[in-house]
Amino acid sequence: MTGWPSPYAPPGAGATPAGFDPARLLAALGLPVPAAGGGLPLARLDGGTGLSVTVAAALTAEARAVAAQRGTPLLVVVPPSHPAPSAPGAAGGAVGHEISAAAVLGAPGAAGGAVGPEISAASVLGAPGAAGGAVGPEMSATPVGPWPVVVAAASPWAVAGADLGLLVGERGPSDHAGLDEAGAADLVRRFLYLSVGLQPSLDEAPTEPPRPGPSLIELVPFAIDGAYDAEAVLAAVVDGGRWVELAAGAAPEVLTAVARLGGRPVGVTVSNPAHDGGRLTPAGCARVERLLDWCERGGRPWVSLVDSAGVAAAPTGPDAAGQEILRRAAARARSAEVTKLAVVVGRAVGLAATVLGAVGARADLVLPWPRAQLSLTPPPPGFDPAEAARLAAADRAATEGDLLDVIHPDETRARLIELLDLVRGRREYGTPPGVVR
Amino acid sequence: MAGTGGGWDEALAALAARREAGRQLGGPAAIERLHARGKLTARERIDLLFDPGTFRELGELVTGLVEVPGRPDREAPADGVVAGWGAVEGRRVMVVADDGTITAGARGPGGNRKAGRIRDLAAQNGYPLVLLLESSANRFQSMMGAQFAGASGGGSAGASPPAAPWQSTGRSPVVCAVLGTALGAASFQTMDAEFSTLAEGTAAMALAGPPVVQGGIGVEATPQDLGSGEVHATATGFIDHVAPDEADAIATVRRFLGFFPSSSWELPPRVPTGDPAGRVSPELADLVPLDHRKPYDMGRLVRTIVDDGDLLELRPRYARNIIVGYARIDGWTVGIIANQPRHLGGIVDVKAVIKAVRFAQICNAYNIPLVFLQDQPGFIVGPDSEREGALRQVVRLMNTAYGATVPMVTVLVRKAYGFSTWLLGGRAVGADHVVAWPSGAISLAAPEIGVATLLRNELAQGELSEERQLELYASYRKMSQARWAAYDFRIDDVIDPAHTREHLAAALAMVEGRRRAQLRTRRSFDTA
Repeated sequence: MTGWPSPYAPPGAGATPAGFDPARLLAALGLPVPAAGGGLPLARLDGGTGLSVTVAAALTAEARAVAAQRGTPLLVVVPPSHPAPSAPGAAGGAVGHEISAAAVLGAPGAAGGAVGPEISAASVLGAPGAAGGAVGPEMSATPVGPWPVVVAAASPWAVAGADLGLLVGERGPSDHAGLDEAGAADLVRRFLYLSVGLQPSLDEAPTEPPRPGPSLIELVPFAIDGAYDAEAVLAAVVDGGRWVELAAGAAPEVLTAVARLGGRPVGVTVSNPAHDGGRLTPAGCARVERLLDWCERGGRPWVSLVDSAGVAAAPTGPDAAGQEILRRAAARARSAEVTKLAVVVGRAVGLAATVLGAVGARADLVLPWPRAQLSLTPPPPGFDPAEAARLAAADRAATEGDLLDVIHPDETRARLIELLDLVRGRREYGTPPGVVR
Repeated sequence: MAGTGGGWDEALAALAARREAGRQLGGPAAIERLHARGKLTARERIDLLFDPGTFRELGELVTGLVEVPGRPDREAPADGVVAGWGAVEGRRVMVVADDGTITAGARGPGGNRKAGRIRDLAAQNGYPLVLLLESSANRFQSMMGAQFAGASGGGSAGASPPAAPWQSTGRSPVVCAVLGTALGAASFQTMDAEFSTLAEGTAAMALAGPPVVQGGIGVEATPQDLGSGEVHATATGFIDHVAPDEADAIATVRRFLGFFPSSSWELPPRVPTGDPAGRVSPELADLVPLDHRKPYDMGRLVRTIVDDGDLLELRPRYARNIIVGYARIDGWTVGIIANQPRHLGGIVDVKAVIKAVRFAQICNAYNIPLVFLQDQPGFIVGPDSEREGALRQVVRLMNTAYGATVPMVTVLVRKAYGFSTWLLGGRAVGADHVVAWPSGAISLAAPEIGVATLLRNELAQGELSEERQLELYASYRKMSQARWAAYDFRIDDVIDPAHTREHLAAALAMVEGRRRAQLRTRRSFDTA
């Protein structure tokens, strides 16, 4: 002990006006409260039984370097007394590609900012004007490898910058609003366990079965317009039926999440046709791009379950600016250097199909279900729907060799796990010069 | 399926029926005709290639349409190509197998896309790719007319142009088994492959087939005339292994893959064989005569020192004065390059250099150490070899040897004369370990040539008696003894022939660390 007072008040005493208490968060995570001048302690979650993390009071270059050296996630719990940045958003960006995930706990009004001009947490969450803040003035591009960074910040301004993976707050713009410290800690814990990839090889990874429940053909009606629960489909595919959603509530036409598949951490996008036929909005594109950032930074595969009737019409959909966002998201999906596997569950139409990885996104493999339909545009008014369905049918593309299989829905999980193993060398091996995917 | 208005049951039943149709290939009658010609179907070949039950097919639903003017259109299940992946000795390998029951193995557009996607997956992920080739070209009718301008030889799954076959050379091995009449694209791929085999009698490989030859230059020729196994085994040397039948060809592909890493980013698998590294071979001293002019079988010597006598010799009937092939020593895969005194005294001629250079380049690309066994009188000289382009080939060997980063271990068995001594694993090109047998002799030239060159005038004027010449030869022979090189450490040691295997195993263990350090370096090779 140095004799300096701890920067953290005793649990309960240091709450923000909204009630957020970083010390309670640490307690809920089963971590000791670091002492002032105590450096960057290495601790294990859940009272020494869980994942090892490096704990810091500010997101500094040193903290990140130390965590990288240790090969642990970095948990930054910002004390309430931390000074506010001089210019909101000024230091939050330019973190570079090195941080793969972050969880940010913010009080009301907090928002992830400075994600870059093209996508910010604020834009994801539809809160223009929310302050993009920095956790500290010392953020730099020090490479830290694929280890997640978690930032817990009590002050309204003190949220992470460009490397957002998860925003958790009591209310207001966040990935998951309305959580208390215990709920937030649980989310952070699940997020870390899902995203820390300690099992690069399928052979070494415990493959947890999906959550027991109805089969996929029981969940999803064969009729292309039949309604189904996208979350139930996801639960039937990923390990243990577990995931942590990013930007929950924003752009309900597409769910983005962190999960495991065959023991391997993956980023998942799932269309939600129950909301406007899964038509993508600019906000939905931003969600997808943010997930791709997370996948790319940690070398994690992207798995996409696609059922989107295209792009949403104005006013939520593409005006000129929205079109530009869509175009850019499509380019992002195409250029992302990650393993990409797409399952076409239902419709895959136009530019939305590219943003979601099904068409023209240089996916490693695209596996449609028998009900799937792929088309450049929705059928024009007056066009015979039966003929449109025949032309767009996935089995037609499979017959001609444009798609290389049509799968039984209930084989989805097994096929994805098998293909993740097949293409696992791609990122490491690289793309031979001149080979165009 | 979609759009049919039915439900899941109907759609899934239709899917199962389509898969079953694809499995039937061209139907029982076509399969019977194929068998009658001594050939196997694509699926039967795949069964021979992979460990049982490991094949996973991709593109099973692809169905082509064969359109010939004046004939009814007919469906082509799988569109002429069966593709996917499986395991060979537990390691993943991609395969594209042409279906001889449909249009003699020519591919439709869908089949071509399928083949291209498998090739891309192999290249991008670092898996070996085995091509079981029939004619393997695009269907003639799909290439007639101006559409030929947009056709491609290998296909690609996307709208983007396909990668050239050479773009994966030196990255992940491509193996071609020519099992039909491989023309055009199929022959190009085979020329670029890391390993090739051809089934004698039922297969041939050429640039163009009989109809084109007849139409183009008015010469009647059968596929066998143009490119039989015999042609490629002896005249061209293009095929590494000419097999008596398809089963042997595919078994040899498996054998080859066992020696190789999945990609150039890996070391070859070390497979303990149970043959002790320290096994002593006293018979070697009896095998090799001390008289440098007496022949012996270097192949037997090689098989004596490698694990279990197992040598996969490549192009054995082409340039028989040099032996190249894969083997194991103490479980390590090695590339053997050995002069064969039984043919042309082991002289290094143009064909020998062509054979050795390509082999050395492939070993270098795949982190396979080279083991040289020298017994050679130097490069062949004279007007004929000059006209054959000896100079160019010697320079290719020089560039290959100096550029090699893979470990080299050399045994000077008997004579090691001329610059070829350096280029076939000499210290000059950075060999890691060079030892000689007591029978070894090292010199710029054989004694007879040395005397003839240095004392040319005296010889011409009859001033050098025969007795004096013999004295000089004896003197040069003594000066050439390998022990002199060992005394001042120009070579590492002079060893007992019986302990050759033990020395090689120790040297290979010594260089393993260096091999690991070089894994990320890409090294390509050329076709010749």
